[in-house]
Amino acid sequence: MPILKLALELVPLVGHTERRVVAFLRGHTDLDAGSEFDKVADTPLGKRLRYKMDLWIAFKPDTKGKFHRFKNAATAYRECFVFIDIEEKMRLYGFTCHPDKADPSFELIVLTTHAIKKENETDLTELNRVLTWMKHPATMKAIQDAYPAEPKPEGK
Amino acid sequence: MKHWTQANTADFAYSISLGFFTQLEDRLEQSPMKRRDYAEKLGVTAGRISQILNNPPDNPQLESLVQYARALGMKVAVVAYDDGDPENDKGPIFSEVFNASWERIGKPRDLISVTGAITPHAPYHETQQDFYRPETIVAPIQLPYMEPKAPIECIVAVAQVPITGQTGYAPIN
Repeated sequence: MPILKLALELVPLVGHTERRVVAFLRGHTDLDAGSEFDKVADTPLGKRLRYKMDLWIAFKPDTKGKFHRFKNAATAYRECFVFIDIEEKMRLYGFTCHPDKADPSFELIVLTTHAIKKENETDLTELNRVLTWMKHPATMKAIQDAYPAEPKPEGK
Repeated sequence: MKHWTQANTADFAYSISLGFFTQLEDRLEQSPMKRRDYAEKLGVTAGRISQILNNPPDNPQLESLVQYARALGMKVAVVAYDDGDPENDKGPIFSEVFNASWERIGKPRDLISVTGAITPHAPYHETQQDFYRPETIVAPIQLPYMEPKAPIECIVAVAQVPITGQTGYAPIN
């Protein structure tokens, strides 16, 4: 059985900082957040999505209709995250994590999947899709590859 | 290219518009005013308001921005700034950052409340240093008002007296 290899790619042309970064997880057809974004990257929709990523990176609190976690959902979904564009009904789903052991405050959003939906109600099917990828060993490996643990100083 | 607003001035202008309408949307969210009432004030439909907030115009007229803000009891400033990023590699600073900074230091209406000195009389380095130290900002506001009897240069000196914990202000000779 072939081994699934995934990779993180920083969302291009977004103002990532040392504190916060947004990335696509790529390497499987179900991981369609990146590929769907690519299709609209140069359109007003793509610019609005990038703008919302910039807002999150700049520590704007969760904002209805723009992006948010799922604080009121079951504990299992608390790390899930979504960027929203109401105009085009587009959602980019993913999860947040703190992959840098040397700097636990550093936060990364890993975008996994995309959906087109009009309703505001949380769709657990989409969140379960995110969780499946979040827990996948290939995802963990991709994050570790992008943020390797600091090598221990010699002699310790 | 490192940031999407680097491509051209149109993209930079679009990001300003997105930031502006984000501020209005936040205000509307916190306000008791309904979208319907806001729309009525502007003479448009509630649907049009939703459309504008969800998909802001890419290059709105300045006068339109003022209309949208005034209908929410807000004002508009156009601010030019130097963030040490001349090539715009990092993208713009959000208008919310400027607004939050201004609110945090007590919404000053003049420069003396911010710098503690009348800018044209103060050397550049003195107006810039300690810009955000609370005592530097608050002290001039807390000083009791006195009818100026001395030349204006003396008033500048009052504002520059360092705050050491005691109340009142030091006399000037």
